[in-house]
Amino acid sequence: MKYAIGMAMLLSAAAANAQAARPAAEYFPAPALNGRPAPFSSAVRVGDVLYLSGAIGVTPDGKLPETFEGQAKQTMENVGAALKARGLGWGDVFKCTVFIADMKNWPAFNAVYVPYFQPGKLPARSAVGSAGLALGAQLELECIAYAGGK
Amino acid sequence: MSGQMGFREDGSLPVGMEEQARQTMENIRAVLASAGLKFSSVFHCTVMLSDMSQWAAFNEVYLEYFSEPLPTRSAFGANGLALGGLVELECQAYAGSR
Repeated sequence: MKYAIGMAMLLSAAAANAQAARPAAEYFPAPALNGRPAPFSSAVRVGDVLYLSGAIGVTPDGKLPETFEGQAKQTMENVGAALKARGLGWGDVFKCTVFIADMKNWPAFNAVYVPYFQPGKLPARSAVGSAGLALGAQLELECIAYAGGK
Repeated sequence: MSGQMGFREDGSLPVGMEEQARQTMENIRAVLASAGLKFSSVFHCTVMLSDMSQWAAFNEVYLEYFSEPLPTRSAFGANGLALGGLVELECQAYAGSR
């Protein structure tokens, strides 16, 4: 019993040290975009918050799907991959901003977006109809996630 | 920080994306400096352009002001910016000790 309490104290001390050792901000660079260095990092963690760059629906081979639904799904996959790379998931996302080139696609975006989240646990969100997006994308999604303890 | 645009100290707006972008970055630099911070403290930016065909031109100037690692970023074409500006840039910076 004494041993168990001692171990627990050691472990919690180790966890506290790991927390203290974590730098205040960490940058995670983005891969090249169309063969050129991307003008942004894919993610930056500041304290317990992970900021992601706006993602568009480029596939791993660098192409944009033709349909809005295709781009929306790929955008979600790309944001999901960026979260996963940091050990996080959709359940950690608490705020998103979506930029949609043609706001008539707002319901179509919602139909793709909502199922990625647990019922009743949707992040706060704003949506903007935008006059053009990078590389001619039809939408861009920026998410912010809670990274406390991870 | 509030979104910054390319206004000079005398209130005039330079002509063209490159000049407005440069002045915008200088204005950001000044706001950061007033808080004792630098571009290296910036961790996230939002770029608003009146014409997204100027995205690459903006990036060129933007990247002159940052060294890696870069902040995260989103960029979008806005359907009009204040006072007819071509670019507005909003940045967030970390002001704690590292």
